[in-house]
Amino acid sequence: MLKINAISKTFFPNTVNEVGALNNVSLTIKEGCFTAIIGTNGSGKSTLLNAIAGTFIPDQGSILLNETEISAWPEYKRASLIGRVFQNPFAGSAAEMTIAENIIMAMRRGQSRPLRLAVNAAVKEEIAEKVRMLKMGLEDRLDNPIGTLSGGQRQALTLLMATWLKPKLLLLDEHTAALDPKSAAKVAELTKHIIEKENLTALMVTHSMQQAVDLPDRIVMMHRGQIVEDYRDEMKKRVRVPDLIETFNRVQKRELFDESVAAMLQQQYI
Amino acid sequence: MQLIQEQLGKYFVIKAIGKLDASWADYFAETCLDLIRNGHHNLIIDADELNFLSSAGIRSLLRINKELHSVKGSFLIVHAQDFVVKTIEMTGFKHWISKDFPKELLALKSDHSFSSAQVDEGSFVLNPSGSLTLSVVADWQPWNTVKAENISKLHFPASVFALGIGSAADSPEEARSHFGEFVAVGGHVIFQAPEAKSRPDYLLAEKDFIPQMQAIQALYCNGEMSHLFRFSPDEKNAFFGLSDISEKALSITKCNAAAFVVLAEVDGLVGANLIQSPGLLKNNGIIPFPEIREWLSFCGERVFSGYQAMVFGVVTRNGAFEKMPLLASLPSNPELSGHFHAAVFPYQPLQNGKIDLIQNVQKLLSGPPPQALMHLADDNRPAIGLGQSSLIRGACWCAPIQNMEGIL
Repeated sequence: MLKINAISKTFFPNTVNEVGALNNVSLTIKEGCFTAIIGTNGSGKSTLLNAIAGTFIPDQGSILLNETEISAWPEYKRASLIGRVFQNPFAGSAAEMTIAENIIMAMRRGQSRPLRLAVNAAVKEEIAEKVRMLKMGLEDRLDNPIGTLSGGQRQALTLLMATWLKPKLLLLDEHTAALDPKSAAKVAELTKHIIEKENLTALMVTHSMQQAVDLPDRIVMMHRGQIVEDYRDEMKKRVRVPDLIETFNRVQKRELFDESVAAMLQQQYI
Repeated sequence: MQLIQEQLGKYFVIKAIGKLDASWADYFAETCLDLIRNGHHNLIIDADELNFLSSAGIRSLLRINKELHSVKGSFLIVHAQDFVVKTIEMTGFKHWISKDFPKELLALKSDHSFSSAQVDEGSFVLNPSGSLTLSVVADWQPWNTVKAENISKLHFPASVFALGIGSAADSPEEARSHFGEFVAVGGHVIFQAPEAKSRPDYLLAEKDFIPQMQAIQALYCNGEMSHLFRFSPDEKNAFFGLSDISEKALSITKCNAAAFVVLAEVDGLVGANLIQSPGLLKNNGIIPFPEIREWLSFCGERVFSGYQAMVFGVVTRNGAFEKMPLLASLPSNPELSGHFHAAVFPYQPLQNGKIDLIQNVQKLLSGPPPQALMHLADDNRPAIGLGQSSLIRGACWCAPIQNMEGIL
């Protein structure tokens, strides 16, 4: 279970570039819950993911993963518990290494890794069996450098690698945004399949309203560093893309309601 | 496929060249449906050079025919080649086929002095003695606390046109936490619960059922509409502001106070709605910014372009009535004061010419549900104001307000 207690983060404090990226954000995600985070650009979605991953330490608040306080842990230490897939399909794997070698690295995440990685027949068979699940024919190309694959194939493998050891938490940061529509749909389908099969706790940042409706169990909407809407249980089952757009509109309408509007409505709302 | 369009008198002729098959059916249908939306309700397809018609093409013709049927328009296919005639006949739509253009159109074609005049302009007297009695039956003023004596139970028979703030709850106490804007036309009431996430709901008059509301604010008009006028864009006006429509309603009814119902396609609406019931107010007085945002939602930009609005409004020329409550001065036309509520629906075409208000309101309410209900505002903030609400094409039923009753 992930428990975020009132975390805040201000970048460039006391300068003209000061940005209040997270403002007292609290969120609890039960074990096995797949949650999407949506929001406008600059709303704090990726910042929240980065705070959880340990890219930076929040100014205040705490983060607990499976009841262990990880707020002060450095990023590399959290990596033993957290799997991540980034927007850039080339970010989660080593291009010069083969598919098998990349996967072996992922298989030994959190363990000491010798300089020479043994890719023996038994390990290869184990890898091939899991890669076959992707239904991309990559099980026959395990010795090819991963850099020779398409973005979609590489992102699918990155997803497989990030979940190989069943992380306590999976963070997906717009992981289909840089893919062509067909590959994006395939990776989205794989994401749902793997998360369900492994019963993973996952947080996914996405700009795709349709993905937010179709894939997760819960949708959290952020705006200006705060959570402004939380669709879960029956609400989540009922919600459709137009409802999410309507909620975005409502949040933006509230923002456009300034003092001049209040003064105008004093005359006009009678 | 190529489509050549030409307006000829009341007819709009579309010459279809090429194949009407699965690849082109949607394009063809959308083009024709756009024409219907723009008020062209008598379509003729000149099929002289149409050299293929598939089942998908037939489906597109059916869509067009259905839309035209809903606005009592007409649909003809002329000069069709034999196989097109056979295909259409086999599918049971023989009545679409005509060998040639209608006679009056042929006469126009030979007379090149024809110009593409507006198909549907004009105004109609519905009942020369039609008029409305206005009652201000509840006059809650923002943002006073709501006392029990501020709440009135209103009935909405077919002769009533009203707007205000109320609740469909049974008792005043139940209603207290549910007061939101409403608009009532011809016995049908559309109301909005005061919640940011809620959609409007409605009560429809059926048989012996007469809708009722607990209201804290209501401009309640009883009587009959006297006039109908139609409006549609021309070279001078691409759209019509609410103050233009108000002015026209006052001039056509030859009165300084009038009420009107408009059914029209929206260019843009500007307004606000309650998101918390005034029944929950603890103190009297103006709610300052930013707390006011917890009570009212403002549209923030011109909204619902392309939707269909049903607007009910009461408008007076300044000085018509002294101490008339619930009317705000219209900055777009400072001579006028008014109060307008709009219910917003997905677009539905209106038949041209003289049409019946109640029938069209019922038709609107039998379609997809309303999307919003707004108290319309005339936003004249310098530089950043959104202006007034405006409409593109539609119909306005209006009547003079001859008598005033109630709280004045």
